[in-house]
Amino acid sequence: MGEVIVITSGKGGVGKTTTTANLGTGFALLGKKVVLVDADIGLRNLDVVMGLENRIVYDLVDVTEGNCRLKQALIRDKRYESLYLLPAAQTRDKNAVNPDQMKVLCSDLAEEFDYVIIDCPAGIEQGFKNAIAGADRAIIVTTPEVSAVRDADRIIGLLESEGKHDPKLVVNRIRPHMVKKGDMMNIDDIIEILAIDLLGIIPEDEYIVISTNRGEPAVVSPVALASIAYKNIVRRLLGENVPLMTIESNEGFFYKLKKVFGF
Amino acid sequence: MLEFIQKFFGKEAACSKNIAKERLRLVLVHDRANVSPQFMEVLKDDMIKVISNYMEINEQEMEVNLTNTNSSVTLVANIPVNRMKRSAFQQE
Amino acid sequence: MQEDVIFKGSKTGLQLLLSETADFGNIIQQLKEKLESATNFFSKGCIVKVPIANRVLTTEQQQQLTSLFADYGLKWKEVQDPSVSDEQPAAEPTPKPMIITKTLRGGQEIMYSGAVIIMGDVNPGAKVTAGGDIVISGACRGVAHAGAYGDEKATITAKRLIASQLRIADVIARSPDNLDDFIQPDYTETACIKDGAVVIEPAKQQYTFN
Repeated sequence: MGEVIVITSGKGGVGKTTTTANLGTGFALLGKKVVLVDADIGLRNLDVVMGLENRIVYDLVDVTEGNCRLKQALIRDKRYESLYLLPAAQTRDKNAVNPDQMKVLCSDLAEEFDYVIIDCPAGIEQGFKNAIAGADRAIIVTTPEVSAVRDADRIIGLLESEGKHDPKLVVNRIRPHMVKKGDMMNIDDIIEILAIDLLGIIPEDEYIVISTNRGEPAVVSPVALASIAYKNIVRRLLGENVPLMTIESNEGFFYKLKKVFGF
Repeated sequence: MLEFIQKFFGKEAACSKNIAKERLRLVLVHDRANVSPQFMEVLKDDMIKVISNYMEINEQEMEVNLTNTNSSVTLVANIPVNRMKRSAFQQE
Repeated sequence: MQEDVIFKGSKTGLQLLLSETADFGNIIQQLKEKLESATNFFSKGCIVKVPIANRVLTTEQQQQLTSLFADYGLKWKEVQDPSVSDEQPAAEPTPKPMIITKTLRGGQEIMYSGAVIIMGDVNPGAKVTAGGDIVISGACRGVAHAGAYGDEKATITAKRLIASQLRIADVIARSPDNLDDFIQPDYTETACIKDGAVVIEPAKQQYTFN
């Protein structure tokens, strides 16, 4: 029986889809059997981030409505054999699915896969409720901005009221030079306010844009900063104790990183 | 330039991250206080459960509220006690 | 959500199936939402068939239906049996092509029993399903499905045929993964089935419907 993880944030544009794609691919890199579920019905994006948009025949709504079998709707990744995508419907809306259907879907997927990773839509309405319904645990993505942290707090509260306790935090798009100048909240500031466990930090990395353009998750790259950060998170999810990236330093982020990784 | 001068004179508060943090703290205090009536009912029920182990209370006249001031949120409970329970002490 | 109102495309045109049990107010409400969300779908002057065996309508209800349809430039008429036409032999003439005069954007969907002509683009995430041929005057970047009822002779023609996916009858073809060394020709192309696979070739100069 696999684990169902939902990636959520409340605010849009903080990197849920990117995080879903990279964590999923990161698990697949380590040989785990993974399925990514795009729960953003009507505004699907995970398919383009994964570069699988031209293979979609059936989608999540087709499965829940019984138009096709679950296996027919799963798209195998073009790079990794053990990685699959269940795309969202584009021509429907959030109300086409309900939480009970999602619970059934998640437990069906968890029988086949080691990890089921759900990309949650922004907001706290029906789409959010659907996405978290079948999840065993939640990962909250935020950025070091007032608006994103505030929404993350709201999401933590909503998750608790749905009985999903102990979500983990990923702080995305940290800019070391701004943190150093005191113009960006640092990790300690955010953790102090949200009071939840930190799962990892992702530095701002232009490579994310490049990899999204290509439809190839950044984690595939052996050197990109974001790639290393995502790989660390994957290892932490697997139970390894991986130290956080150090991001404040006089010599600059990259230097320190080089020191940490010894190259 | 101004930033530079402020930094030069060691004015920590001028850092925009501190402004962000302070604003966020205030916003969250208010966000978190805006809880649903259902939440308050659940809280009330739980309180009754715990307190009933030690004393008999008047559930009808019990009042539980969150009050908001500018910088903090307080939980105020007004619970009329009818009688202390002896059994609770004897267990000690 | 319970669907009390279902539009069904068939070889003879559009059919409206109404729930036998639902409240008529709900039906009108849902119908309104459907018409609103899919204004593209319903071409003006289109006649929607409402099988009476499905639900008996009072005169007042009929008037309500007429005025609602009129708001969207549609008409309706009653037909005898709900299962009409669906599986009937092709005795009826093929319906006139549907002409869409704007670009279809992501999430928009056209479904029509006959041929579909689009004077514009079909963007990624948009979907065109036609019982007959599909002709697109601009670029086709979305999903196009011609011959949706199994007609393997159906074709898909577009000025720029770069669809993420082409389907003809039951055959599916998708665009190549590596678009880097892919050169888009500057002539109109047509996709059709040859030897059981979708092939793309330069379009005939004049496209005609038969």
